Amino acid sequence: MLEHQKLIVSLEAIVGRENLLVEPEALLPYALDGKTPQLAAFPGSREELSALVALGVSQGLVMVPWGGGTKMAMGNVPPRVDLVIGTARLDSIVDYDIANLSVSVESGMVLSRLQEKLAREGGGFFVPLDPSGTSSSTVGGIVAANDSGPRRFLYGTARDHILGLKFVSPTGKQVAAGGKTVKNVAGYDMTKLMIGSMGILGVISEVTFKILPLPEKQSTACLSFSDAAQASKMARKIVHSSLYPATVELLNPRAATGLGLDLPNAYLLAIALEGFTEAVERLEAEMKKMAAEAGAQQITLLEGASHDAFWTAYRDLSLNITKTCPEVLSFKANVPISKFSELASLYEQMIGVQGSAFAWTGQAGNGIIHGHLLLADAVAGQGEFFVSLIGRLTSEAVNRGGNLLLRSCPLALKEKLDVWGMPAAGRLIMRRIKDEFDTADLMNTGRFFKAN
Amino acid sequence: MERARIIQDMKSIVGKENVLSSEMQLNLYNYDASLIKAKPDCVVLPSSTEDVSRVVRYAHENRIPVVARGAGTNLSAGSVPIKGGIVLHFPRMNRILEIDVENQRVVVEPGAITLDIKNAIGKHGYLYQPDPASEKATTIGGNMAENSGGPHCFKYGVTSNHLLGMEVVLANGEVIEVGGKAHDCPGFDLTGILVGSEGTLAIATKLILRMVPKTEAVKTLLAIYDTIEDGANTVSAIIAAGIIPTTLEMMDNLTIKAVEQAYGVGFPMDAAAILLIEVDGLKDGLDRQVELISTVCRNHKVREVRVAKSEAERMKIWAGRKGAFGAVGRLRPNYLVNDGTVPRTRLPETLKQVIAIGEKYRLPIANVFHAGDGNLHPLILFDERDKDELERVHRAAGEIMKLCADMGGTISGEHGVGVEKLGGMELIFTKEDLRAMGRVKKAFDPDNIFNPGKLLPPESFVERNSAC
Repeated sequence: MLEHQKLIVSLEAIVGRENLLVEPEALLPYALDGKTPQLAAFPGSREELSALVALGVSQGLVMVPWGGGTKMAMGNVPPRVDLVIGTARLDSIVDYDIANLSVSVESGMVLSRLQEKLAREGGGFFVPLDPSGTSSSTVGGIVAANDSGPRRFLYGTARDHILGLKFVSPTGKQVAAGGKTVKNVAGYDMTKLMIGSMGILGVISEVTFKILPLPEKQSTACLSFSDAAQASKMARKIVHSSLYPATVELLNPRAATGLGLDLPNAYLLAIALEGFTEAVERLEAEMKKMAAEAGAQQITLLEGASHDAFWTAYRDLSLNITKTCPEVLSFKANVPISKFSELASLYEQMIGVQGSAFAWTGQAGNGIIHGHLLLADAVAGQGEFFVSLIGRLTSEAVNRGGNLLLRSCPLALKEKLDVWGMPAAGRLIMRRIKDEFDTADLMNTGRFFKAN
Repeated sequence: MERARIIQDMKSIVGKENVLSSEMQLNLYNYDASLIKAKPDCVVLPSSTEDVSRVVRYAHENRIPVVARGAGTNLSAGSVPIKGGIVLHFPRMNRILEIDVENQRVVVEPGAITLDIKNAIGKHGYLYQPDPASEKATTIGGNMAENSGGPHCFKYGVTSNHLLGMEVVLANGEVIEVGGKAHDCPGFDLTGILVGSEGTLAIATKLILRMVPKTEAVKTLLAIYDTIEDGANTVSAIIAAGIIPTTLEMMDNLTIKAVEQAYGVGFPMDAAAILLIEVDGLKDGLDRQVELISTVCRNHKVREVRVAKSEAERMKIWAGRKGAFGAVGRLRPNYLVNDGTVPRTRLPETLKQVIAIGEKYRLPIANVFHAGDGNLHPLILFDERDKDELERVHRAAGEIMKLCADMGGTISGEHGVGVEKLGGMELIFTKEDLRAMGRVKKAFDPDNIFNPGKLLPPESFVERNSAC
């Protein structure tokens, strides 16, 4: 390895002095699980990004791509971090083809900024993705982490909206996948491989989204229930109907209050309704009727600013919880949809016994539970207990045909766990793909495949 | 390896009643819906995952090509065994294993016919969205391998958007599950990379599909135009009006005439183009959408807009669309269909140039295609016995492929690369792009036994034991 000063000179030659962080204090915000990088560089173009990665490989540096930083708690503890590659300066629009319903942006673009611009275009357009972290999540980070939100019930996830992307391979080569047409079967669907690959197959530099016209009307039926079972029963009915709302989202009382809005301290079922005006009006009426039959305590229709405020608070819930509580353990459990409500109740019991506050939100129509254990300082001296608890939570998901992964976790626990809970079957082939792409194992080393 | 030996070994592995090896039988497996022909060494009809695994393990140990075959409707030679070897044909693995209504999933074997699956879940009030025009014949395994599309993909996406998990046999015979009934399986999206891999990475033995509740209402429109440009311009204009129809299909005059002569569905013989437009969803507001669309059509000089008044009328219109290839096929002894795709905004000028290419090579070209997706289907009509004409067909096809690439599109929207479009891969991908694909191939199938010679230009992938 070049000595530190020489390395700095080489990096400066690529990105310029002003786009390089070298001082330990400046690098502190880029520490990952307590490991501070030696350096952080912010390329201003795809070419610079490519040159950076090539230099990193030649010097054997462990590289960590960094977008808005909202998902950096994901992943196993890295053995070391040498160079953080920040995409903040890669934030321009590359191709803006509204009539084709496609838009290509650099990976450092914050999604909400893109959404604002699209909303002002003609009758208004949007990227149908609503992942966590409204004001800071970048397109590249969302795609690399395959993050999604409640509206996936109607619209699907990144794999359904991304027509193509570009990335810099772990050897510093520029690679393009897919294109800008809705249909494309030329060669392997490399786009799919990159979605959710957590930066270990390369650094995403550009993403092409399929966009949609904004719905004519939107509102949210916000229904409160004293009992989770009642809410789940109504959710099931909606999911198996032809009504197709945008979300079928359930929040437990702790999550509902965590939104910081004036909402009842109860189980909330949040059904976002969107589409043509007549259809939304019909849906509003159907929801009111179904809610009354299901025994809802309170039926509120959120429209306009209150609708927007609700969903912004919802997307920022996990970040806000992390801010208010020093130690949070967040997980995402995925199960077949029929197992959703029984698993959520079971988790409440299992975690309730332990005594931690437990906030959860769930997508009844997708079988997804986002759980947050607010630990305060409860972990100290109880490491074994929590490792065992996570093991049991995972088993319950796996036994129902699902899985569980940790989205954030106190470091003391993380060191004892594999946060991904990846199935053994596919692991070997995943490892082989990784080895083919990143022979020297330098991209996000140890964070995806735990170092042995 | 000697052919007789392979046949003998196959008989001992899966039983002689499951091995086809006579000249006549092999000739039945030497083609698909493309123009390329090649015979396998033998054909094996597996009855179980274990059969497939044992055959693949044998092929792996002996470095014999294995080509999985569904209904053989492939349009790019994906199912033709160009390097010989074993064809795995799946008519005995055609069961619908489970209709899991509560989880909205249907689990099927690869040989199940797409339409049979749809009919079976339809009885429960559910839909499987992808609808390749050949769904009466195609198998779901073939749909997976080619990432099949269809007219309704405009709104609902292609096969990969609806296939959530699989059991697959890897190149060493190992059986693994990827994805599942639950969403978001941790790790790479192996299901996503396998769909559309044209049988070159793994062989599916079980597939998990998403089924969704039936939509409440549907409206189907037929817009009739005097010029093809007006029809093509309408496509973008409908979307600009904020409407996403489920379908935006277009047919040109040659196709319209052929369909009308074959089926008599009521298309006007003198129309330059027709657009078949469908919207679905809740019944509320649907009539207004139809009215909005009609207005857009009128703004683009439509001659007439017909709205289907009954399910029978709707089915008649669809019969015309779904039967279009067959109808056009009656006009000349052969046709070659391309499926280049362009950004939909480039559709009008692309069409104009496709017509010019037809004139340049003196070939009739019928156009019937997924206009909403920018997915062209120019059917070049010819007689393969006329060698000069055949040569012109290949040149015209190559030029159309290049045209789509130049328009910022791609060489294949849904039919696959196979052998026919191998030469086009470098029109849209750089060497680095292709090398990245080569790495995926190497990770799954380092010895290149699965469908060798397809999808990837040879220089982008080096076999493990290759001399170079």
